[in-house]
Amino acid sequence: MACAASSPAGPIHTQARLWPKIAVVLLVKVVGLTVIWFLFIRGHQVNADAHSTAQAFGLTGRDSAPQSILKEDGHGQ
Amino acid sequence: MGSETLVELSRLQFAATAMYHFLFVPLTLGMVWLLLVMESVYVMTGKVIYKDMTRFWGKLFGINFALGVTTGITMEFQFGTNWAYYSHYVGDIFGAPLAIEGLMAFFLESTMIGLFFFGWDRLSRVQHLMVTALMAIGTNLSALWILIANGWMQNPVGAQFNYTTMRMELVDFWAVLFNPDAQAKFVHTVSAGYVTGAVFVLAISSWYLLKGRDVEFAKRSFRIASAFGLASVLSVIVLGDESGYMVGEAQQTKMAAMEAIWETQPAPAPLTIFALPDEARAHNDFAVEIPWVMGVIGTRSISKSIPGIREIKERNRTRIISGMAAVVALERLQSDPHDAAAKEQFERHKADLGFGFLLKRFTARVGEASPEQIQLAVDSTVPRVAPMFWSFHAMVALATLMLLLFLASFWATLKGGCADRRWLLKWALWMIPVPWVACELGWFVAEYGRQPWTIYGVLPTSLSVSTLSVGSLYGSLAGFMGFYTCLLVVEMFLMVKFARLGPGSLGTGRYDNEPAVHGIAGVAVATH
Repeated sequence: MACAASSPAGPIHTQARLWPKIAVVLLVKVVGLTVIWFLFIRGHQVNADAHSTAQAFGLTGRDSAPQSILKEDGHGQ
Repeated sequence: MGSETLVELSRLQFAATAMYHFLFVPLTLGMVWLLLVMESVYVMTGKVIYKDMTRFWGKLFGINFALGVTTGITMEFQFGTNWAYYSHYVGDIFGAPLAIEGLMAFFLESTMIGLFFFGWDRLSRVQHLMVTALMAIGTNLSALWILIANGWMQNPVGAQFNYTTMRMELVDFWAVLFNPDAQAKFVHTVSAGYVTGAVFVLAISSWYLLKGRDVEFAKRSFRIASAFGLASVLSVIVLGDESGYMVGEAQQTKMAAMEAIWETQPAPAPLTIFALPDEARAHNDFAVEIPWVMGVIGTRSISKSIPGIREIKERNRTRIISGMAAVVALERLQSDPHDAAAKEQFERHKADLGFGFLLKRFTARVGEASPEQIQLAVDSTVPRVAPMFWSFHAMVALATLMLLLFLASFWATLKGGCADRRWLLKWALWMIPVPWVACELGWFVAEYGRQPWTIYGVLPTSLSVSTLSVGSLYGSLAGFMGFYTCLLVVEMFLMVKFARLGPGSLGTGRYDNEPAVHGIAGVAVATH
């Protein structure tokens, strides 16, 4: 059967109405993520080279920063 | 190394975004194959109802894809923002499959999805079918690469540590690619997605049948979903068993925790189907066991024992003590890379370096760790048993429930009377959230069960986090959750709206809930 009948000009032509909605959602999503990045992520930079990693792991000297607060039960959950 | 709060918040943020993301993913993975089946029938038979089915279910697939695709991208960014030391330490290996996944997802999958939606009037039937097939392959290939990356976190193969660069370096790409843990995870995960897609189509079709609308369309959708779902749920169970076997081989701690095995079980070990695990006493209350089954599942034999948590902890204690020597040698090598004695010591103990790192959570001076600190590190090597046990067993119970549903649905389909069994239709309708719950539980078992590691046996979670402020993590966590919740609400709204409209939303004039634009519209026209 020919598929031309699949797009008649009916009053309920929701296929056409769906795409603008999806486009708006995608736009909102991009804007939302950009705002989150701008507010919370943009200004934070973490150096992660060999030296800074060794330092972060407490391998570069005896005066390493205090380690984390111990959990009461010590579980690795 | 970050504070405990920083570590917990970073984990929470990643877990929350991953769990939100996986609300969208399994439906995409499963629906795409159902679309391929429907369109294949259309191309083979020429019956336009199958084209309408492809287009209608494709519309729901499109809503899900459009809303869900970027929820995963933020996870990839988090590796850089929240897990900078993890990225430095294992980025050489972990980055490769993620990059290939990006190419698969954004080039193959997205391009084909565009052609799928906009190519109906521009491509021939066979060309469009090929597009749908490539879309299905692309979707599943992107899942493959993600699961290769995740499989490497569970079972790190094909890499070795270089103390001068302070990172793991890839030495065997093929070992990473064909990591048995990754392969088992891939087939189990995508099969779970297929089940999700099948339950979704089955449930909505059942709703149409209960309402007595679009009956022929719904019955055909029901038939395809029941057959596809039965094959898929059987695959999930069989491949889940294989996945369990791989877990037993590579991560005995996870296996012991999810089965609440406190003491080493003599071969062949029994399967505990119900128990109340008591962490304090390292004992299961009210345990109901089936003899032999766990031994067969976990070892594929009746002669091998399954190690219990107590034995695993003692093994880990030995490795932690060996790892202390590796960390001390590494500290000396950081001061003097040419220290021959340190190099020799490091080479002897480097396999246990990760276990030595576990002590960093409890003391700055690993080489001088007290017995109490070593005991804390030993205890930290096992995740909490009760959440693991219950999550795993709930997942298995839900999978069994879905197996029963698909057996009943397929049987009803064979008998030709699915529309008459209202109890079955109601059951199928109410099952709609079940596959999502099962998927989330499965991921919880996989990821929580790997703790305290980001890379099992190599890199502890506590050393992987970026040195961010706690405030920024609270803020970004709230932002992500608020935003993702909005996306979920929009998805639910659009899904419910278009599911309610049904195939009439295609505007063909052949279905219920739309004006008849071609005389007596309906199924009789659509099906010939």
